[in-house]
Amino acid sequence: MKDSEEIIKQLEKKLSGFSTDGASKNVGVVEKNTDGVIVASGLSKAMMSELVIFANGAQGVVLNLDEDYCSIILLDKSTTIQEGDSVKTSGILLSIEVSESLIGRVVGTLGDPLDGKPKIKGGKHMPLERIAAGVIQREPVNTPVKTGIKAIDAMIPIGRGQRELIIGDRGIGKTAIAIDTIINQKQASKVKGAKPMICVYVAIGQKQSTIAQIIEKLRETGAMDYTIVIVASASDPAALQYLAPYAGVAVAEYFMEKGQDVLVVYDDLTKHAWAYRQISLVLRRPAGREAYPGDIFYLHSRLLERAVKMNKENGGGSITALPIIETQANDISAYIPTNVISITDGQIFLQPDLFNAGIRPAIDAGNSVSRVGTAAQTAAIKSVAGKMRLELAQYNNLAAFASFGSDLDEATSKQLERGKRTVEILKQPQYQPLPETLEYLSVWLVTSGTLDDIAIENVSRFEMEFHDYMKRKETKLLDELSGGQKPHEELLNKIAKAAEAFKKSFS
Amino acid sequence: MTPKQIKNLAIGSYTRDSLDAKKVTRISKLLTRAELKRYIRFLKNLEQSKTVEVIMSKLDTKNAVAKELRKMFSGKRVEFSEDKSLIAGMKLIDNDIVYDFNLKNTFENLVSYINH
Repeated sequence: MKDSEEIIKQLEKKLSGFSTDGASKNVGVVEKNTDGVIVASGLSKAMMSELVIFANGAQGVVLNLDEDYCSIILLDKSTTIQEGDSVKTSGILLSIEVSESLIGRVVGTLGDPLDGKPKIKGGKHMPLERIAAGVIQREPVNTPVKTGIKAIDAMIPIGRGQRELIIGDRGIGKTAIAIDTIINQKQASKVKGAKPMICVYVAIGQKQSTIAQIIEKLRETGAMDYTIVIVASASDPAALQYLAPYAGVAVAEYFMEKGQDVLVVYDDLTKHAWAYRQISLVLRRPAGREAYPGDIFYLHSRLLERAVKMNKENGGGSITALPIIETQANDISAYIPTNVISITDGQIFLQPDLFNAGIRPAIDAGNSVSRVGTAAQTAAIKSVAGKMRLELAQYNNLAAFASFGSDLDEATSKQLERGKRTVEILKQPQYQPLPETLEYLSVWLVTSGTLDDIAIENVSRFEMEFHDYMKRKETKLLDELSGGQKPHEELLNKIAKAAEAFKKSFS
Repeated sequence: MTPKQIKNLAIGSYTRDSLDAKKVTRISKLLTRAELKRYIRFLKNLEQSKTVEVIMSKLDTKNAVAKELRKMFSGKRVEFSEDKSLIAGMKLIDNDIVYDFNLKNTFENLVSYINH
């Protein structure tokens, strides 16, 4: 008896929000269906970016509003929509359902699960298109995002709320940098007082096998515990590929509103631009340079403007964006690369020549820049990084000169030798991000001249064994360094002593 | 001929709010097949916008509701029809806006509400 009462109560509770008022709906008729773009008449009350529903249950988004027609892009692979079918407006703008349970999941552009687990329900609907936070709500970038990659953390530091572009040809480690940064958030969050970052990886137009490999790597390293993967693969409709990065930033905004720091990786925006070009051409929008539509700049600027560092009154959360752009034949002056370079707060430029020479990550220090990140760099790294960057620049200049084989004076030879060791120390294997203390020690080794009498082929081994030595024997010293403050004279002496002691045992 | 010009022809085919057969015949003779197709579509849309379709569960064109509806849409032609599947109430189609005031729609909404 009690059970049936409970059932009735539950039903009553469920129905308490139901309205029996008459409803009105705006309907239209499908006039044309070409490559997933549908032209429908009627729908006089439709809004831009509004979700519409077809008679067979398929969904679409309004992208063009004309006097008599509106153009709709299909959000699934539905091929059964025919001329004369009915379509109705939903009254809701395109959104994705987000909750804490989304963490660790692999989902599609509209939040549909792709990992075989149940659908996420009861979350907050976050709109895909939203105006970015204004200047009053923001504060300058002041907290670092540790990538765990020596070359980046020392020379091109990234701050929370920054937009740092990763640019380069195919297959030279762009995604690897982004994945390393995600993996490194695990150890970065272990540092005292550091807020852990939620990571969102948006795969746009990639092969499903590549995406599967990335997800597996994230799982293997335990990074999926704080990561959300949004997938719009190459086999998905162009509409979903176009919307995927907006879904990624909408998910990020949910966590940012809760005061958390979020890292979003858009892999990659070149394919995103291709998808948008495809849609625009089918929509018969006027084509411009390289057949891209006129609003291709706005496509990326409105997305990347949503990367933000909020001030304390507005929760203090942040969204850091790492967009990736693939260049053709190393041409960074092409249309999309120049657009995104001008939107972002700096770029990490990868060179195929460096990659082929075995310098990995193949970061071109001369062309890479971080416009706001230095403000977020810790004093410890800052104290050694400036010197290293200068030495590296001098080396790059001298190396070209020295290749003529003329006799060099002692100072120049020394600079060249130091430069070679700097290049060597900046090499780092994939999926092995380093904590800041070890990064500091590596940079210190080369800038202090400790490596000057070590043979170049032994530099990497020396560095690795020195790290192990410090972890085993000088834990107190590492603890002192972990604060991020500039090391005082006494501490520097202790590090020098430890390095000398290790050097004696190194063979 | 541009779609806008064809649309203007369709609008001009009306005399005192009703379609003028003479004008339509004259215009249709001058149009190509594709233009004629577009012209017909515009005429259909115009006809639709000038008509209000009222579907009732039980047809009664003389009751107070029907009178009130005629008054409400005085500038338009009101057409009544019957559909028993509505159970009770009515469905009103005004161009591309559909108003559902019937029990069938309420039940359908209830089912989708519970399922959701």
